[in-house]
Amino acid sequence: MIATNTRRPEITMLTEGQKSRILNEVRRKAGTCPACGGREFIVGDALYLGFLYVSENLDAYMIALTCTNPGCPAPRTGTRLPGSQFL
Amino acid sequence: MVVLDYPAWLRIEHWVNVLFLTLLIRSGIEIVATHPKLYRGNDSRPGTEWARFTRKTMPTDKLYDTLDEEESYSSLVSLPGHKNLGMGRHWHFVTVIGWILTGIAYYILLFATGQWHRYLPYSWSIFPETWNDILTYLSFKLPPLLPGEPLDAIQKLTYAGVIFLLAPFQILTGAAQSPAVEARFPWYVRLWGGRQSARSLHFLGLLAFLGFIAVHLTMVGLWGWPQLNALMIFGHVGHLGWALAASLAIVAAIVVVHIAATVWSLKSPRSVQRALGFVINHGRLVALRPMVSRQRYPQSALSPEHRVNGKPPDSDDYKVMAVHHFVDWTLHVGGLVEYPMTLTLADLRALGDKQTQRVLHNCVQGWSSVGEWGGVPFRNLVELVKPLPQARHICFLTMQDTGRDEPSAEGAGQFYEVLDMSLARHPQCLLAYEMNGAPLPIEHGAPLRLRIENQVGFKMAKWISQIEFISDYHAIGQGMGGWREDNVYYDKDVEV
Repeated sequence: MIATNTRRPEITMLTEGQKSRILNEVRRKAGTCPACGGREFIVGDALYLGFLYVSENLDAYMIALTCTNPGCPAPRTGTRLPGSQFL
Repeated sequence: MVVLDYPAWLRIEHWVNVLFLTLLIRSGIEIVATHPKLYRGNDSRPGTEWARFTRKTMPTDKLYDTLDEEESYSSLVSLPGHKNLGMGRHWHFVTVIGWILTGIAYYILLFATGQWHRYLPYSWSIFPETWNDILTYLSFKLPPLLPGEPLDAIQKLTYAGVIFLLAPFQILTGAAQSPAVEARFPWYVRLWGGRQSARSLHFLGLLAFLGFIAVHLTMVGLWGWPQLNALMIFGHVGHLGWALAASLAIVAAIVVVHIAATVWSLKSPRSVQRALGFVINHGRLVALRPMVSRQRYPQSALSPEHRVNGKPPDSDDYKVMAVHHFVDWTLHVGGLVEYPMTLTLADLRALGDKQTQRVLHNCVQGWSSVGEWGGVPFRNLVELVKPLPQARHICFLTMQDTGRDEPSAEGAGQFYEVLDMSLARHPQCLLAYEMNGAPLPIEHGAPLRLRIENQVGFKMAKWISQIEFISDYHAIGQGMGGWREDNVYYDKDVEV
């Protein structure tokens, strides 16, 4: 049996600097949580979409955002950004 | 002393064999067209093929799957042509049943009547005589027939090779491509050098048959088409004009059968699927359904690149779930069960010790790869939800919308597949959430896919979101037992 690696293979871990740039982008676009309308998020990992999906631009990423509103019914959401804006 | 004449059974078998063999060749080419590349060993890694019959090149910056690599061949060479693997498989399998039965009858009659003397040599002198025959043919002359026999030495050896070696070779290499046979008897696949080696050898056997047919027809023409056809149609040489006309009429009848099979398949594939599938499924369920997977490939056999068929769900909901490691994904299990439930990935992982299996994956298109899959045995889930007595099938519903996600697929709608309950308790029937020691990759079905190792790959639904225990599947989709069965006319049971 192969030793188990718990990291999902397609996921890119982001540095603090990259997360900061993403937050700035979200704020600049006035992004809101689709579940509760909240405007504050914690940035998680990134998923490279450009390779996996024919419909996506080559440098497209899905960024994990978690709404910080404690009452949010669906806090885990995301935003699509080109890699050039945060990598 | 047996008179080596042309008894009626031999003449009938000859012409039936012509029909079956030509149907097998055309439907075989249809099957090759769906993955027109040949490999050695077990693996089908892109770029390692030793032969290819396509000019398509695949992108390096986008995920492509093997549906994108499929070729569309003309109906002149393939049955029915135009990217119809489901139809090609039906014609190939129904014909092979007829061909094997014809062959068994032929063998029995050959040996029961003593007609085997016409093919099987019993003196080493056949080899120098064969060499002399070759030299005679090369000097554009006809060699003498063997004394008291209807053939010359090289003809006798060639027919013996085709009847007693090439035909069984095709059947045996064909059987080595059945996932049920491979799963139950992994040594048998090794015997042929691996699944792809068996596929390559099967193709070379097809070329050998084509070569034999070309030479056979040339020889018949050189020795006298009307005379030899008179023997093979009437059993004696009489009026040569009638013999010529009858031979042309038989060839025309065979061509008409091919045209009818092609037109029927292209115009009404559903009725072909139902009619031929009825015959094939009965044979398949009796001969192959009892085979249970016992695979345990070594780690060194793992494919460096496991191919994929099908593209992941192209929805924001899925992408958001994926980037959050599928924390919000849930599996709904219901239908005819005592305890319907909703499970998270963590719940599934907690359903007992993880089972891993290193196995050979058989795609319906002909490619194969070896992977290690980890997850929860399906029987654990069955024991948990307790199906009601009337539950006879299991329907796996997925997050894939084929029309949206898979431009190369024929058809649209939610992808689903139906499995018989009898397969659910197989020891290697697995709900896999890991592959090769890592979380199941998105292109391979994350977060959850099915593994049922004695079936062809398309039954192993990927991107599963719902499992329903059902008594009947005819009201689901178009009622054929799965998305591919509905849209591309595959069989519901695919042990081959």
